[in-house]
Amino acid sequence: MSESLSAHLRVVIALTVREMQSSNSSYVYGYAWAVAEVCISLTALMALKVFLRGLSPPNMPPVLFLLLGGVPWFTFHNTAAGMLQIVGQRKKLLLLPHVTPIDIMLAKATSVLCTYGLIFFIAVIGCVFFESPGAPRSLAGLVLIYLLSWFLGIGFGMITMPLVRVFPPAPKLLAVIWRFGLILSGVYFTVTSIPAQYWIYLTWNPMLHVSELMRTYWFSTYQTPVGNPFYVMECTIGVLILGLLLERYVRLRVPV
Amino acid sequence: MSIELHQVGKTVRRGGGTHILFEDLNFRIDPGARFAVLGLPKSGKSTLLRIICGTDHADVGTIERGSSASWPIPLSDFLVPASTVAANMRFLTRLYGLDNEQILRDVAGLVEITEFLNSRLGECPRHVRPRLAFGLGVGLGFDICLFDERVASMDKEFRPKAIEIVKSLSAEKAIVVATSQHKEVADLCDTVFVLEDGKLTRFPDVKEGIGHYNGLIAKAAGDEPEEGEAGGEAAEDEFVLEVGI
Repeated sequence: MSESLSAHLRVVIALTVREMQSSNSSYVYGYAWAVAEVCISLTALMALKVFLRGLSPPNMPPVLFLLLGGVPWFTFHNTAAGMLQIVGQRKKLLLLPHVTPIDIMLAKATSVLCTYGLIFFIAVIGCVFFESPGAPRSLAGLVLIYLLSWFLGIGFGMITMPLVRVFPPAPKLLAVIWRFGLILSGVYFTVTSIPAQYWIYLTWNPMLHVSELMRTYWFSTYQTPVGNPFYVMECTIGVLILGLLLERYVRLRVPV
Repeated sequence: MSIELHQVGKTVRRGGGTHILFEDLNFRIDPGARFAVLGLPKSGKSTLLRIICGTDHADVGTIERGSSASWPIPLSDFLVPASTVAANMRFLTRLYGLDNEQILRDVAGLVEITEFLNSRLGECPRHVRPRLAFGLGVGLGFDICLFDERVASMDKEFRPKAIEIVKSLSAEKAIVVATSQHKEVADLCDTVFVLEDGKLTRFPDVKEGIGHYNGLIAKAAGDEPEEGEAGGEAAEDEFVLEVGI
């Protein structure tokens, strides 16, 4: 059992390294472009935030506020969206013994985590230096919730991937859902800036809990009235189980 | 240490209907085996190789894997043209737990592509890719090397060496050559299997197996085999145009 697991781990690591090396490898500076792409997305997010200045909550440095909501969202979104079509795009790898569709999906997800995790770390260091937000209230909480957002992305990716196999135009429809998701996940606002009667609807979204908890675990000046780490965990476990079952079901029935 | 197929069956969709590729197939590959699987195009040879190495599944039957098997050599679709030859090699050595620079140099030396290690694969001369795929397939320490179609489907200059490399594989290693052409079979294999109408027939005598296969080719071409054509060059050459797995 442990031998089989270590073999899977080895395969996922090899595929992750390949994924990171081959992304943008046709350009000069290769992987640096993947990092630059993320930086550009975050800069655009910040520009939008400046434009929507009215929604800024008080007592929170603006850039770090946005990073704590935006990076988990992008990690979640890019993990799920990246896994959606990656098996089709990398199906030639399935010609290699030991490589399974789930390995390819996990490698994609891991490469997203590495890229966003690296940028998150560097950007947070920059914010600490320039914005002096004070020490985080719970570093372990921040890391745990961030990782949960990634696992949530893996689960969503596994649920939506079979959909693409059965219905290839699905990514176009999902893109609309992602846009709404960005708006409704508290990247730009805290839930306290929304009238309390709408919270019951908004809090169905686990990514809203993630944004709220990330800010609560860093800023001593903010305490979320709705964020619940156990809800995020329950959603993550739920989507992962459902995703794994669907992947297993589809693997032998619908060709890549 | 072997790979054993028990009552394996596979059905494929072809022409809007289902087609039994093979059924009740029993096959055991022991260390040192030198097998050839001969069959007409689309008879299921490539699928059989994929089932042996585990990249395809059987619809029925069981497969016991006690040995590692290569991908069907010289398959190279998984190589990334935008990455260097060395990066492509490192990916595969890492994938199979052989993260070792020495293996990388040995394989490159074996197939004479050392000078291209740091060049992008897509920018290398045409012969580098098939040589690389061949070198990795035979050089990464798999217990069983699987060959799809020709063993040496590469540049003329390197072809004799490729045959020699396969011949010199250690006695513990097994080889399975699945092909619709039998030029190299007599040289490399000691047992022939003919895949015909979904059944695998074993011929311990290589010449007898090739002769039987030639009869199959002639039958498919709507011709009877001419007397003394057991070597089958003429029939084989006629058939080459149709090979397209």
